[in-house]
Amino acid sequence: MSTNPTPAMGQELENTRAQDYLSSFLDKNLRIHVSDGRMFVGQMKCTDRESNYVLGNAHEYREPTPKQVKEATERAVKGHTSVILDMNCRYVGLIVVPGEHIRKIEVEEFDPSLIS
Amino acid sequence: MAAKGAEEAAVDVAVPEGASIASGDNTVWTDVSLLLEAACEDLRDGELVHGDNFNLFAAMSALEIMDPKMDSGMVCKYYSVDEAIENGAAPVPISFYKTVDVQCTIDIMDYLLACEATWHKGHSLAQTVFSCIYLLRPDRTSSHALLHSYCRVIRATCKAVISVVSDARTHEEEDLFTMAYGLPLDGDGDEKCLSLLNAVEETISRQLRACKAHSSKRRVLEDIEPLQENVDLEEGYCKALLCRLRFRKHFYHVLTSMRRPQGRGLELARKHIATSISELECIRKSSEFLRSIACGACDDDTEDRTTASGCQPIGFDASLNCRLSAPTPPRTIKILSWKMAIDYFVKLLHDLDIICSYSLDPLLEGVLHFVVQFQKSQPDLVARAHLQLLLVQDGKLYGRDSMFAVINRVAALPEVTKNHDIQNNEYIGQLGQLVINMLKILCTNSAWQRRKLGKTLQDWRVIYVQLELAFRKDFGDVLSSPDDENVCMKIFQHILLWVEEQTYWIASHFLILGFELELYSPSEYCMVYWYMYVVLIKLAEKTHLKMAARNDTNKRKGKKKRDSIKDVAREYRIPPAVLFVQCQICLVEGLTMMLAALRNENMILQSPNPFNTEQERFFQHFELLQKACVPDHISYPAFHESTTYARISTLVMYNYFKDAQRIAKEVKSSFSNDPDKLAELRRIEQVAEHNSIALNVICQVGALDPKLKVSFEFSHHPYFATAVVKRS
Repeated sequence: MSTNPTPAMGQELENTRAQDYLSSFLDKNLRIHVSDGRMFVGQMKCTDRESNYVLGNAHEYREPTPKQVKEATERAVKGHTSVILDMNCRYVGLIVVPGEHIRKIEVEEFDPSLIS
Repeated sequence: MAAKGAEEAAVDVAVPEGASIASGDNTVWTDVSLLLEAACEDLRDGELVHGDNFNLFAAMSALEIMDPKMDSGMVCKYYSVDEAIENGAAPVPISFYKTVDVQCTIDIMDYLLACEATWHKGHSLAQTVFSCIYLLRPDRTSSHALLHSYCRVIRATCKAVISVVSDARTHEEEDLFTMAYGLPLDGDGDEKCLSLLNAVEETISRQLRACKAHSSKRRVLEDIEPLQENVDLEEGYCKALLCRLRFRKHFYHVLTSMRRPQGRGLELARKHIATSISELECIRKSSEFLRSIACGACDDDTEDRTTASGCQPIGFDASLNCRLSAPTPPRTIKILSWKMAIDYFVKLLHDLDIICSYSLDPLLEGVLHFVVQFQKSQPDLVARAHLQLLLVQDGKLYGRDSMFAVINRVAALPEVTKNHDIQNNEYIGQLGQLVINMLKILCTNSAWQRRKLGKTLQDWRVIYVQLELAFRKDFGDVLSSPDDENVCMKIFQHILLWVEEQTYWIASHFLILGFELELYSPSEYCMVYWYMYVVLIKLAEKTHLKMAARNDTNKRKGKKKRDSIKDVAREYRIPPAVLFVQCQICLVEGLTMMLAALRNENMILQSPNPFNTEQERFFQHFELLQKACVPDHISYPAFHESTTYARISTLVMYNYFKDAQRIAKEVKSSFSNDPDKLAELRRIEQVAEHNSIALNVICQVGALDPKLKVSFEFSHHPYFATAVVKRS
């Protein structure tokens, strides 16, 4: 996918390409990280110039609380150097994530190298 | 952060992002932040990229992330109360230095008072009073007697207040108030809060005595451990604590004694109210001492501070509970200042005192007058709820007089009615229910009250028709026995007359409330006064008829003993209550005509309304009255007809205001023992006098000076306007 529009192109063209490019993400699963450390996963429904994103069927993920971490650590068998904890998850439905709070956006993509 | 929680250094906690949301088969997550950002920048302003199945309308229902009002999941400082406690947000004791501990306890008490007032003013309990971590874990404070006793009494008080408000159910619009899901309102032993409070109070007053004795070099009789370490501050701290504890005790007593059935605790409540107010003044005064110690350590913003000392209290976090305040979205709440909180409680106590000093008038007219008068001071929810619970208990007035007895009295039914079959009549039962509803509605806030009163008018009309039909039917049945027939006739007449009178009273109150709520614009005053005029005419007529019927009954009773000519003479005198209404009628008629004449002669600034016609506004304002046919045959054309030909010159010839003045003067003597009515008459007189003069000025100068400007103000009366004439 070519994503670097050449400066020679007119603004009109850039706009069209931006629209096409963004449209290609519609209904794909996005993973948006926000400023307070949470992460939202849902289908992209809409976006605009301010990078506000509307996600449908979204889930919210947050890091485990220190208490949960502590408990898990206590449970863990001595000698293990790492403990794997699930993030806390809940369904939030249709959401708008304002552009100003977005720290990172990831998209779920097909990876041919994973086919075994 | 992850490593922080681990106890052993060897254990390294890794939280793999998205461990539980592994991408689907054969897919990976790719960071596209920069690409998307660049693409978005190339979009035009306001342009949206969206699929066919999505539009702006659908976006309206989306939750906005990171918006404090919508996003309940925003990461706060602490995830839970326990975590906050673990991190030392609410230590017990607050400090190992007793002086600091006492100082901090006082700050907590003060902040809780501010929270409580904020709650009473309509915010959620969870985010105000229960933002205090000490309150959320009732058992944690048990080693700290002072704090423990205070927390207990606070929880018990909140519970008592919630029960008053939810029992009264006057809070439909203020329903946040009673929400207490998940809050530990029933702390173990909270019901015994007073005994602990008394014990703590006793200890501190001993400490105060000991400290006073010490300073006057007297021998101390008993060896008492002082409240804290600093001898110079001992007296000040003891006093500051004592007034705070005593206020809580007496305030709790006020709430419980006011709840006693049939108003039996009102006298006792008044004593506690008086003490509560004086303790509040002591609390207010203690601020000087507390600030002098805290000075420097705290912000100087005196107006906004939420404690007496100005220090931030320890152990509060409003964000902890924000998820408990469902079903409303969590809001950021500004807690009232400490000063405003004290002012609020003083006002609340004064309002409660008015209720407690009420004489429990058995006559409905008296009750209505009291409630309307009480509402004029704009009491808050808690006071209104108490009033309502006093008025209506177990479906009876004051829990004492059955509704039939109340109707019996107000409609002046003949003696025999008390045990008459009529009280079992289905519609009489419904009528009683309507009276109860009316009393309850009158205790709600003005906006809600007006809307409900307007709607209830239709019920009153319906019950009138039903009663009339039912009586006709019954009347037919008893025709055979002529004696009984007479009594029944009497009862029917009296009840029907009273129902009509009550309906017009509600209608006039409905119209008056519109002024209080500022619902009318100056260009609409004319139609509002006109409607008041037609309603008041009916009210006067029904009151007059009812009183005549009442006199008739009394006269007959008296006749058996003595035939007197005096009675006949009295019969022809118009009763003062009717004259009182008459006086208002003259005033509103004068105002209607004056406003209409000024409009017709283009002497009043008319701002043409671009949105709707006068007729439409007429319907919007009086829709509920019109639907209930109050009064019958009243419509916009009638208003139009009666005002189009009004002229200043004719108004001066027949000055309605002079009539109002005259009647007011005449009737004053009849109300010499009713200060409220007297004050009202005086106000009416003033408005009438000013308007009468204004009318003359307009008539004489207006013709010569086209620049004369007339405006209306409510300087002498809350809803009867006074004309102000100015030369521009």
